[in-house]
Amino acid sequence: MSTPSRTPGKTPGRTVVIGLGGDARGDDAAGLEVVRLLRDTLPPSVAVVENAGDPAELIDSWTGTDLAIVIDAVSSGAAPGTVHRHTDIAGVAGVAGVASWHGSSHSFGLADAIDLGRALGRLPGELVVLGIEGDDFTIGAPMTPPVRAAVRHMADAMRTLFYAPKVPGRCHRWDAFRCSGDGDGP
Amino acid sequence: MTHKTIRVGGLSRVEGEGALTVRARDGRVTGLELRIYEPPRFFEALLRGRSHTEPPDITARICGICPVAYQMSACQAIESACGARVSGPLRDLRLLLYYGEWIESHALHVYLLHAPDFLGYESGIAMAADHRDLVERGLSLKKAGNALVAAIGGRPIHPVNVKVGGFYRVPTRRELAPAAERLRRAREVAVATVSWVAGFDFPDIEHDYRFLALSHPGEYAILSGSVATSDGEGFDVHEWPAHVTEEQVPHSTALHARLDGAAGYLVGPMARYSLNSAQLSALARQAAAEVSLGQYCRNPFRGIVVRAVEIVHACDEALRIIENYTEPDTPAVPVEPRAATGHGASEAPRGTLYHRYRIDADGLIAEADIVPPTSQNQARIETDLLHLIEPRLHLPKEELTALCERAIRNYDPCISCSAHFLDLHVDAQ
Repeated sequence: MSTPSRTPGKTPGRTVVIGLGGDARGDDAAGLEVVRLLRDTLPPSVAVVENAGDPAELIDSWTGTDLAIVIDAVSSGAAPGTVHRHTDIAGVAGVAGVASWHGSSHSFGLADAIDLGRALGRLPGELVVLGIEGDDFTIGAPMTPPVRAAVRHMADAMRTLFYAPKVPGRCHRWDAFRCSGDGDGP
Repeated sequence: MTHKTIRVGGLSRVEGEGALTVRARDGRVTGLELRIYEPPRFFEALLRGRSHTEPPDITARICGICPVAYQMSACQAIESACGARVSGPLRDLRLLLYYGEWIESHALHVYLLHAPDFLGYESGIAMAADHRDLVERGLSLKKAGNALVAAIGGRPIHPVNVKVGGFYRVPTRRELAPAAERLRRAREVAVATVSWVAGFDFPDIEHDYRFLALSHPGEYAILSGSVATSDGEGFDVHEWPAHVTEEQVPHSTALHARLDGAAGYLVGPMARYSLNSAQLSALARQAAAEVSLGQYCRNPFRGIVVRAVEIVHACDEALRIIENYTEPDTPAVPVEPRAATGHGASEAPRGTLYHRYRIDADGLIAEADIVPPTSQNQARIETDLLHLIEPRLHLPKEELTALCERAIRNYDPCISCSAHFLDLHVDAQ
């Protein structure tokens, strides 16, 4: 897999947190709910964006950023509420990761947007994808309790990530997020 | 006796997934089924017992590509039941919102979903690697639509500002200015898009379609109108149930629509263009004339040109409305519930979308009926495929399969409007 294409002229230090999903299908709203909890609680340099599955908006949201964190619901067969973590773009867009990320109801998958962003030279400097395993994606269903708990946990972890003092060598910064072990490298 | 079997794991670049089975024997197609699995009527059941104010928001969730269409058909059906009328600048704002959705949807289909078929790429992503500027141009066009929808609807996808009777809040002239600036550039891109797609190599195929589209005396119908057909017999939207009937077919959970008893009519851009092209904006008509599109379009592969012309029209008309816009006195007219049935129809990017609601005296939905464009086109798509496949059964399997996929994609089938998460295969035997 090639090195991610970075966008020329990006603003140093700019970060975006993108919640991806749909409100009509139960646990599919997990990503949206995380960023709703985060709105107005993160440092001013961190943009918080909701996305209902529009690839052009997704690519625009992360174009020119140093770091983009995308949160989405996943259906991979893991226990509901499990958090999947990909800090390696190839892990999401490559063959290994694609199936579970296509489990959402979005018409144009996240992996497609990453591939399109790469082809257009419009990927963020670093892309982290956090998936929350959903259980019920039925139209009109409420979010299930394990997913709701995972949403709250992820929002808390995100605030910690952006506000906690950095301790060099203590641990990888993404370790704050529970991980199912199917995702990234370090 | 000879048999032929074609199987494809999925049809990409349509909204949702479906399954197509074709059976052939001794060079003749003996059976062809476009199958749709998931029950499409869930939303109708979900709406029963809900307040008459809720259908615009609930039905907008049926499709991520055309939520405005669902909102507009729902609003108009309920307003019709309740005896309310939305006119003047409020109606203009609805038109603006709808034009935004047409630009979003058509730009996505033309550039990322359909053009790759003509240029020999398996996807828009593959095309982007070689034609980055073209794809960026398509995305910029789509963005102009997104900006317009966001300016009126509150956000670019699944607008939250629409309500029965109008809007929660109306934009000021100043708030529409940035969207207008984008639209001016988009209009130029749209004109260039017409020339670009008209230069593609189109198979020489024409069908004798029965077209159905809304028709409006004052405009190229999008938001409202009466129903026009190429049979010459038009009817009012409230007469829809007497003319359009739906039937269950064994191979699909989506209902197949019949027009005056006969299956296989077509809705969508080609129907709109063929019935109403004289009402396109002057610039859109000029763009169509320059590529010799003619007054009618009966070649489904040329549907991409019609979509491009409709983008020009949408940009042009949206700019005209913005230039003449005056803020309405009130963001919405009152819509008091009463026991009645209301009908509403509008032109979704993919074709006529009909809603009917029966409301009880308490303002609760007693019955809902939604007829999306793709289920109306489904029988016609099957007929197209039959005509396409039968004389080409000798072609290599891969080639025939690719042709079937292209033929289906011509109609931009938002199968998720008919039924969600379809698993589309192409099988021929």
